[in-house]
Amino acid sequence: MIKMQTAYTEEIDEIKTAVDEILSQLDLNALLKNSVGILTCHFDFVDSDFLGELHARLPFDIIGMTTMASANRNGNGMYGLSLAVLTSDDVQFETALTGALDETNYRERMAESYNETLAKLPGKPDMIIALFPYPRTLSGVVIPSTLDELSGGVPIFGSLATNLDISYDECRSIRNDEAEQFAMAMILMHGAVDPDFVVVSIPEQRISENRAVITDSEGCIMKEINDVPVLDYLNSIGVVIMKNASTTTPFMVYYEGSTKPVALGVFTVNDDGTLLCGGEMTKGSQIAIGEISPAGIKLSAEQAMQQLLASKKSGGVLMFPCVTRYVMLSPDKGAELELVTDTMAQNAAVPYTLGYSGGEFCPVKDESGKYVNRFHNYTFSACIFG
Amino acid sequence: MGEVINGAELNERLAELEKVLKRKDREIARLRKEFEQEKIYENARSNQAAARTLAQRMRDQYLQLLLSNSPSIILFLDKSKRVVFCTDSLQKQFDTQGFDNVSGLLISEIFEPFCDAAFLALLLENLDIVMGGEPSLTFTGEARLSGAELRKYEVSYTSMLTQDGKSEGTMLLFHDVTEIEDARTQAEHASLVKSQFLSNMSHEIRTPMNAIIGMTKLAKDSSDTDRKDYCLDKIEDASNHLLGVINDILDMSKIEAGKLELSSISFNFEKMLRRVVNVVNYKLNEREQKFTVNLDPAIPPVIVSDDQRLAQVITNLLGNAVKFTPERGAVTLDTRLLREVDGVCTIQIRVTDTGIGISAEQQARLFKSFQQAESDTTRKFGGTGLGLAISKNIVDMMGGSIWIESELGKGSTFAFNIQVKRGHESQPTRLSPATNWENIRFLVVDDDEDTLNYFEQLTLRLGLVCDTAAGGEQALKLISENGAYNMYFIDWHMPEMDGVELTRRIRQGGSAESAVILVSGSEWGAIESEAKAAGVNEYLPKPLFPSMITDMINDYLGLDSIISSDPTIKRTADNFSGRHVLLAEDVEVNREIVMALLEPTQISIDCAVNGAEAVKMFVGAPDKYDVIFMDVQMPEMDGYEATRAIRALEIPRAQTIPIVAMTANVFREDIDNCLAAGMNDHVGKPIDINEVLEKLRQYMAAYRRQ
Repeated sequence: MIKMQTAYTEEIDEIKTAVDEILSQLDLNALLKNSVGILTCHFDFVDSDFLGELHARLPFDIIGMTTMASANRNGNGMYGLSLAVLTSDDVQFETALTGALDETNYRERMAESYNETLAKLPGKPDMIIALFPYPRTLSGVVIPSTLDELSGGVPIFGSLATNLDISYDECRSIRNDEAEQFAMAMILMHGAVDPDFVVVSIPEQRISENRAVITDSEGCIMKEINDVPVLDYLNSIGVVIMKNASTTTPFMVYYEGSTKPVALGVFTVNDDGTLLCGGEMTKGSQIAIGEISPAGIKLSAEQAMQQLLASKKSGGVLMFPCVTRYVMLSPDKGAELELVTDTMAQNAAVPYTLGYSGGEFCPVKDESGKYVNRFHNYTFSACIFG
Repeated sequence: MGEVINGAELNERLAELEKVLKRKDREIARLRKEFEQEKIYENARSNQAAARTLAQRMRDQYLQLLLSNSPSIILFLDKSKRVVFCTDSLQKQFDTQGFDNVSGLLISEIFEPFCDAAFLALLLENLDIVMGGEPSLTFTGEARLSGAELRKYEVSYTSMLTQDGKSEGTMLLFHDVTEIEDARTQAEHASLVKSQFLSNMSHEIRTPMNAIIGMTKLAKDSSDTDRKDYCLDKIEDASNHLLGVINDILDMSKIEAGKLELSSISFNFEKMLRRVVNVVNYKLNEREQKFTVNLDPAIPPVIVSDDQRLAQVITNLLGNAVKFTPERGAVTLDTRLLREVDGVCTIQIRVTDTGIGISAEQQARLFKSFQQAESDTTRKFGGTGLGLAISKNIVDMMGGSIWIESELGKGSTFAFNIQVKRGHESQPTRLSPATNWENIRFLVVDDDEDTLNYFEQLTLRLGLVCDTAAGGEQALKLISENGAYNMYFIDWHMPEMDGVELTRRIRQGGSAESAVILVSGSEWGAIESEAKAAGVNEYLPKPLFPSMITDMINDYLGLDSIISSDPTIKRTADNFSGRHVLLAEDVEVNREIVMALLEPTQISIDCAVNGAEAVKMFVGAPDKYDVIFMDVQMPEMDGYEATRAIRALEIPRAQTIPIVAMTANVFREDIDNCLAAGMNDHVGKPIDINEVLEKLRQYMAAYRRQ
């Protein structure tokens, strides 16, 4: 069984005050045999000595990521830091931070870090939490897929880091007092871990009727649509992909044999005009432009909260909704946060933490009911511990 | 004096200000980021709007294309029945010269000048119903829109409703269903015709089946041999009739599926005709009909075409002529070479009868499948009604045409032209060159002037000396004047003195060495013993063919006579004593039939019940068998596989032993499969004993020569 404690602060400038504020909200005496912290925060927390000070005063490891906004029962906002402490008598937690990952070394370095951490556990992990900075040359999909291979299909939950302006310059993953731009932080959990997962995406009705075909691609890199260079095609239909805000226009990809499309974002506009996307852009697949509307975001958030509350588990909730949802709620950007905080306020017994995500790792159930690891864009994802 | 601030306080203030500055910087950064986020948001919105606009634009484009090119007239009317939109089709139909000329007009104003009043009234009446609350309605009516031909339209109304269910107009769609309706009528008629055909076929199949089953029972229940023979004759007739019906149906199926194929080979035209004549002769004799065959000598002896299909057409036409001509009527088969260009001959074949004739209306239906001239004809005369349709298809495939010349009550001529290639003569029909024909004299005796003329023409062409007599007395007078002739051709049925009596008198007069050939269209078996006792050497069936006569002359008078292979000339019975056949046939009754039919030849037959056993038996005694007759469809190992297995054996005889397929599958591809498997030949089922004997002679002779 896992329990959660949460703490929140917006004291960015006074490090000691911030740490004191955090510690004042935690009951360290109530911690169980094993504990680990997960934090989401504004970049300024990382850019100061806060992490070092916090790590020095906490008796357990922490991992974390920068984010657009954070929330828990103790507070919420763009400039905040939310810390969630998972604690358990029958679950062991081991943390790790890989070296800098790129498209040439990610498998090797992830394997190395995973195996080193695995050696500290009495057996195979039963769940993994992974946080990775916003990808530049590496599609986020490689994180869950590689960990899935290494672990043999263990449930993987986590997020890509983000920050206030969705660009990758100030995105960091964190472990203890270290914050890295290109490394993955993870927790391997071994023991009685049996969480529920929630994933809700944008409604299907918000998809353009006009479909095209991916005619050239390489893995997650989309090169041509309808035999035309991808940016040229998009320009021809009036769609402009901004280099610093590429994820706000979702591509709905219809994979062969699938009746439902998958919403994938564009993470990087490469210098050669190709697009690094959040999933496999299979040649021959049909593609359409999706819409993210405030109504759709609110609807999917409500659905996510309903599924979350329907879970019998109450140990604590990790929530990673997609950051594009936050932006696209404009002018009422806080609407989703407000919905979450109001809903959770009515369920006071359930601790939670929320950090806006640049891409969500969350398992989904296949037809046989088995969990399959997936990378998502534009979803509201949550992990409920019991 | 001013306030004194110490260093510590200054530092504190400085720290405070720095904090404030930091907060301000953070706030400015936040506002800057908010501004950037607004730009991102606007970009996203713009992209989504662009995608929506594109989709809308394409939808509009498709709709415009659809409406411009829809063959149907589509009108959109507002609540006051005025046109707010219409397709180009309406504008073209009524030549409105632009939408502006119809926009805003009442529907009645548009249609009134162009369609009849009844249709317009119905149109408006239904419009009122829909505008009164009915969400949709369809009616079908005929109209001459814009004075054109009468067409049938299916008119559909759909009410255009607002979101709260109020009608704001109506859409009308005029769909021209004239051709669909015509096609449906034709299809219904074709279905009816086919149902009638099926009913007819059911009758045609059940009738002989009934006879077969019934007669079989009667034969089994009777101990009287004559009665049994009678029943068996009936069973044979019914079986042959049933086979004909089945063949017709199969041919028609192939034609309908486009799978009827012609297979061209080189063959003797006259011999093909003789085979055809042989088939219909029995019926002609039974109905005592006079049958004449005129063979144009200009037609090449050997031609290249599909002999079986050509024979099928001629047999069909002759069969019809016999069927529809009363007893003692006349049927004539004429063949003529129309032209020859670069080795391609156009041959015309005409079958003329003195039968019931066919009216012009009936003639129009004749070559269509499933129809005889009238259904009464089917009931009265029987038949599948497919023969002429099949014949037409065959003639068309041969690059020809078929037609009728007939008048009701005045007989008919069915004629067709086909294109064939001239073949190479391998064995010309000619008189033996070793004989001095100048010294040979012939006498032809027949009360039929046409027959006498025929012989005169033929013998003249052959350079023979020939006298003719119209009866027995005249013939005897010529003999007493000129002495005995070398060869006599004497008709059997003559008034006052028949051919048998004349023969007796000729022999009594001392012409022991002359050859006397009795000529008749009647069945030889009935008079054979009496004729032979009277001194007749041979029987020549009518109708007459030059090659038959030439062969007969050569046989009796030629010094190095060419042995004729004409099956219509009776030969000595086949004797295959000491020869062995391996018969591979899984069906017991089929084995019994083959063994019974070949029993008179004294050939020895070993039986295998499947291909595997056949291979084993052959391996056990490879030099024992002269021929293998191999059924194709057998369990365990079929005929194809057994043949391949035998041919693959490393035994010299395995490569040379003739293997003849005995198969009910007689489609071209089935025959090709047999040959591809390594078989030499095939005979079809039901078994034709003559065909089997021919194959035995052929392959045993070949083996003898090896």
